[in-house]
Amino acid sequence: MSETVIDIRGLTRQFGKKAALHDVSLQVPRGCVFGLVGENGAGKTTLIKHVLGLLRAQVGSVRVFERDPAEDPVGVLSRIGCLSEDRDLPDWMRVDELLQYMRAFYPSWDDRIADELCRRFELDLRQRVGTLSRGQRARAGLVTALAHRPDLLVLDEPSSGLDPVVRRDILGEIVRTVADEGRTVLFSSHLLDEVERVADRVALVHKGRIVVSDSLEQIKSSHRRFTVRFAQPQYSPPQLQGALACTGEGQEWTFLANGGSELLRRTVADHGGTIVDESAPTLEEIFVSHVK
Amino acid sequence: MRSIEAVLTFDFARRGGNIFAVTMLAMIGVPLWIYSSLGHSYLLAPNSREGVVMHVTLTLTMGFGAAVAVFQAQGRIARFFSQPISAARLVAIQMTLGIATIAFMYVGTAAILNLRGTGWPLLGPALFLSATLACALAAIWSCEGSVLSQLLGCVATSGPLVIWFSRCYGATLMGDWQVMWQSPSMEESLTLGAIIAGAYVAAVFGVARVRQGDVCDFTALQAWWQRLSTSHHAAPSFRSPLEALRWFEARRTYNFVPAYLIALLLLAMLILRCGGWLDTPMMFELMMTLPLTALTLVLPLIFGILFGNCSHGQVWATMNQGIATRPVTDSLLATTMLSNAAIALLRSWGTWAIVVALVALLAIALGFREELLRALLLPEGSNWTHRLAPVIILPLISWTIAGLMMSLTATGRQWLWSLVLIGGFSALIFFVVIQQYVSPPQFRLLVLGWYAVSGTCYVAGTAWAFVEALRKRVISSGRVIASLAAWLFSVILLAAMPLPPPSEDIAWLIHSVGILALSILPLAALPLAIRWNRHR
Repeated sequence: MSETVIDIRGLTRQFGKKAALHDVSLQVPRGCVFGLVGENGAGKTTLIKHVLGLLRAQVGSVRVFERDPAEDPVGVLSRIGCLSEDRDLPDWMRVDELLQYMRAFYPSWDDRIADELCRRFELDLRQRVGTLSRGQRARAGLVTALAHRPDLLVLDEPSSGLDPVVRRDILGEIVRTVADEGRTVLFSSHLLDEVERVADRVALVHKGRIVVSDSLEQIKSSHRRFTVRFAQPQYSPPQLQGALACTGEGQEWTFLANGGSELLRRTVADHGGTIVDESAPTLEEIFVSHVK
Repeated sequence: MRSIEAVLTFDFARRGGNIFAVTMLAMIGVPLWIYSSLGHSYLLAPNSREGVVMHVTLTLTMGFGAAVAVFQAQGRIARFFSQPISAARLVAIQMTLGIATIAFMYVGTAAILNLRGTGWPLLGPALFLSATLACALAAIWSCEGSVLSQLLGCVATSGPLVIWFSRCYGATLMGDWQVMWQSPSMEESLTLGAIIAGAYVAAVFGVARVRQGDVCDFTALQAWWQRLSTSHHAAPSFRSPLEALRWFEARRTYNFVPAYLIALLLLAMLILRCGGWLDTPMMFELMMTLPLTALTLVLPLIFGILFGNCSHGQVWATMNQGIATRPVTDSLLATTMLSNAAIALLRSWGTWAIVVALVALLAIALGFREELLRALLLPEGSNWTHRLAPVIILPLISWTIAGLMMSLTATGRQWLWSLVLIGGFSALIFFVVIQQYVSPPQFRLLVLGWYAVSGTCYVAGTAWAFVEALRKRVISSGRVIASLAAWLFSVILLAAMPLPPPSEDIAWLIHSVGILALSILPLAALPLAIRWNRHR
């Protein structure tokens, strides 16, 4: 069994009366690209903050590299490269100053990688961070997160502010390269096509709970989409056992099932319907079916 | 809520609720405390010159505090630019709310103070504060987008009004206030009314312009400065995280600014002397007393808050993620921040000492030896301890204030600040009020009790902070021992000093020992605050 980089067990977090996370358990194995998917406010950033040690577990435990990130920030953070959602970079620094500053904290900093990424991202080293556009800030943040070859790369909404070309070609490529080198990536996103393209494993976060967590392949294979034709037009969504979601009108309806495909087939037959098409759903369809 | 007026009023009240309460408490508490401290002396007489000076100084200070509270409550005017409301209506509502609040705060405070026979006028200063606030708001709103323009606009509009206000009290320019401005004449009232109307019109035009994106700023100047400052130095390289953090803290907090401010103040005094607006003894007196106010209280208070703020811009917020995710210990972060503050304070005190020494040498060379000696002379009967004590105590007070402000701010918890401020001012008001109902010996006993209790609390609190910091491993045992040794040494020094009569009271001694404990408190409190803020 592969080594677990992040091990979260029974994590609960309250902000006042609001439960931001409720009994969350999650294991991220070494070398995998783990995508956290969820709506805004679902609890993705709160979960990431726990991994970085910025939030302390109120209930449950968080272990990163078998250490508590809040108790041992040096031991954990020195092995993590992170890009925050807010791109918290000091406005007053120049890009080259930022790189030199960050370099001081990481003995494994690789100037070659930093130069290469700056070139690819077309970053002007003499420019002040405060004058960079949102996309350029994200790129500068990515350089600082990657240049010390971290064992764990944590990216909170990395695509936010990046144009489609950078998002697709560069970010995807970087994430894959990091994973191929045996390092781990944890990233959050609400762009499901992006997660589907890069992630090995996915966790769907909804209202502070993990509703699905598995390998992407397993999630997709365990969910099926059925198009059903009924003998008579249906004026309200048919209630079929085993169906997670249903859309359609008249005689033709589409159902999404998780695991209980056989049960759904039987119920369709009982309702006088015929399955006319069966296919694998997209991650977006699966996500929507779980949160609706 | 159906009307825009009601919504904006609610927003103003909701945002400003706590701030107004604290400001009002301070506006009432501080003057009451000062007047009570002075007892029934002539300084209370409304028509004495001292009474006038006290009233004008306090009114201007209180007005500034109230204006800051109004600005805080209103927030940026740009917040409302996307709302379906005309510039004229927006300005009218916000300006009316601001004016009404500042006038009410002043009149309320003055009315309470007048119960003690201070004889403060109501209408004139309330009108003046309203007009000044209207002008400042107009400048701030019209220059939205550029802090420098806003600052210059405020000074340019409020400055002449403050001078005009001073002249109402018989001053030629500022400071030499002679008589109380009993009530404004018809002309004065009309003038102030016209100023408010003018400020309204200017603000409407300004807001309408800014709303369209026509911002009055210094972009060209800024771009030129950036070109100048970015092209001439290479990025520094650091040998260790500590070195990088030190550089970061120094640049982030502009730790040279306090020293520059002190140098500027001293330079201004020198210019005033050279221009003939200040005589030599007065210049020396000001230069010698400057550390009592600016270096000991004002700068440590302001810069303590700024230096301890580790959020992204906003004070009292969660620690900036860029800082929080550096792979360094909480202890190292705190040490860097403390050493940065210590450097800033040392620089400020050093600047003051060097400039004063240079001016003193110049004065001796120019034949002003007698005036200089007079400024340096201490009261009759003073001994060496009176000369030595300020040299040690004043920098220690400035360090303690800066350290405590940093520790409080670094927690990133606004409620803690509110608690401290409300607690402090409430205690102040409590003593002022209780003084009216008890006999002087009873009151003295109460104050001594307070001294003893608070001194004990300071020592206990400091001990708790060190134990907790040690337990949480945010400070080393070596630092604890060094801090303890420094505190014990200062206590022995205090005990050895033949200080003035109050030292006879054991309560006063306990209080002093407690205050000395507070000077080492930041060494444990700041790492704890950082830890509390960084890992929430």
